[in-house]
Amino acid sequence: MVDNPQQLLQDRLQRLNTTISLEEPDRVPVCFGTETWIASYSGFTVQEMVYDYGKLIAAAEKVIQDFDWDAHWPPLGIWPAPIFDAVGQTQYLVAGSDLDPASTFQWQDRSPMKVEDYPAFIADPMRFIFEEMMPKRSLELGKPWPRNAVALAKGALAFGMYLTTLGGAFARWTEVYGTPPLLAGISDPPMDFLSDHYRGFQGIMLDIKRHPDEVVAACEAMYPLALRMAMASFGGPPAPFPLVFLPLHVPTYLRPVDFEKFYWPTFSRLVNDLAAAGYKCLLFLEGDWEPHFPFLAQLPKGHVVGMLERKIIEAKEAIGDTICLAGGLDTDLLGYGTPDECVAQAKKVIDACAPGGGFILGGGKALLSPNDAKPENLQAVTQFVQEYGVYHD
Amino acid sequence: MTQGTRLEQLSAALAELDEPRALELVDEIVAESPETAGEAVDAIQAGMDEVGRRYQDGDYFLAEMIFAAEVVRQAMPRLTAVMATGDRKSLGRVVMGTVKGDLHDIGKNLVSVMMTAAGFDIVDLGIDVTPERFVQAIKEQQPQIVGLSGLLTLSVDAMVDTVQAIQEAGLRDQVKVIIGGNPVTEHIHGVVGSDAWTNNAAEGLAICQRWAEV
Repeated sequence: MVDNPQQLLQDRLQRLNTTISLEEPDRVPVCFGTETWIASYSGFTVQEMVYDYGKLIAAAEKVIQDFDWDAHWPPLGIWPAPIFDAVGQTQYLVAGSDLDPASTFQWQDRSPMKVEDYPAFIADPMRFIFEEMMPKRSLELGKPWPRNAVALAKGALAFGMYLTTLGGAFARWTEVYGTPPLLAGISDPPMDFLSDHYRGFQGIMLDIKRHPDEVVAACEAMYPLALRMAMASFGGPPAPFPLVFLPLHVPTYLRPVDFEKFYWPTFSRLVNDLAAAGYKCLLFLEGDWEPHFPFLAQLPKGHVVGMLERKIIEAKEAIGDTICLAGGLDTDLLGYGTPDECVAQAKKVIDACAPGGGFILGGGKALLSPNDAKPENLQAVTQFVQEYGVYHD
Repeated sequence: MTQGTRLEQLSAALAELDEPRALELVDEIVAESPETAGEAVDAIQAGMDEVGRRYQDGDYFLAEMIFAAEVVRQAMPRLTAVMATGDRKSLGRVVMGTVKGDLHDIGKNLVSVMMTAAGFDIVDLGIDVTPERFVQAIKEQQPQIVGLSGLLTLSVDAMVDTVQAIQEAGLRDQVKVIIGGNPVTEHIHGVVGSDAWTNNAAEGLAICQRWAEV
């Protein structure tokens, strides 16, 4: 229990909103992206958490209790396996059935959509996704009526239970611990939708060479759905906080010239349209984004948080006037280094990135596996930022 | 067209990622001068070297490497089908695999194609490869190099376990171990106890080529 959770919550929201708006708060906010790592930390297997929401909530709550972070990373990446079982989905590999019970989830690169399907996708993506893709990707939905209808109903029911259970927990954590969720709502930029779910990574990499016009047209066709998904999954009226989560996957594999042609048009429109509607986004920037910094510098100022896996200090110079940076500590140090090494790295990043605001200290990657972070390293860094990360007039 | 020009064009077509032209040239060579198939493989290697150089220079990104590898993947069997065994000198044998617990293979497959084109014999153990299977493959295949690949951070522990198993089997001095993939850094290289690390396919190939020269 904390003494005055309401005050704590107000302080934290003020701190986060100020720094996201690129001004100096009272101190550097701190928040780590904790995914399946919370299972091992709390003494569960991942299998237990993905099937038992009570254990999922217990694990997430233990992290909130133990670490003095300004926001919690909502446990939404820990996919609810009962939904997948109900519809017979084929791409996620789930702990306990496809994987070791302690393994984080994994994703199989597949191409349920074929090259010759582009015209049908472009003509009507919604119809194509529902009629062609869903039965292929979720086998129970491809079975004859009424089995498909029963599977869909079971899946929807499981999803409803998941959202209700987690929604209740989020409200309680805010009230009892004064800890808000960092994220609400999720979408994929259109080219990542196409890559992740329909053409596969390998497929899309070849398509941009062999069928460039179709890829451009498919991203355009997908755009309205991507925007609608972001707004619908956010829930409630638009607000600048929590942030809409946009995980970006293919950009760093593309030359800037191809990024500009295929990815940027619908991605930048998504961020701009969300900003105009009153939302702010967290971009999950995997890989080396340095060649693409000039693009990020064009996004709406003060409306975007970029969680960087690499080169955060270079990013401060290149894009720090436009987007708030998050990260600084990678799993190699958190998992295999000492508290002193982690604190030294935290100091280096705070010195470089904190001036002027627009910086949240955290991990460059989401924490997935037990050895992604030693608890004592996270505690040492968290304690350090509370003292060293204070802004002085 | 003279044979020399044709081989130069094959290298250039691959470097420029002109898939139809590259495969057309390969088919012409197979049909009209199959005895030069070995030289055509060298031309493909030269083209792939140029792709790797452009990648290192930042002109090409991974998309271009994957596409070039896809062209090579189609071209190589057409040429080797008409080659006599022993036509090409091997740079050595490499046992490769994605380590236990990790099911990702795009990076490993890319490196395998590039190393095959460069003249290495690749023994690909696939994904989710246990330390025991690596040890067994080293005993059976007698490779000079072992490549451990991983995308997820959980692969780091599996790399540690694999190198330890190779050590315990008394095979560590017989092989060079290179680790590669997103979670791999200088720090992780030290933790695993490998001989080299990379998260850049072209650099990984260059390291193995240096080892093969010694």
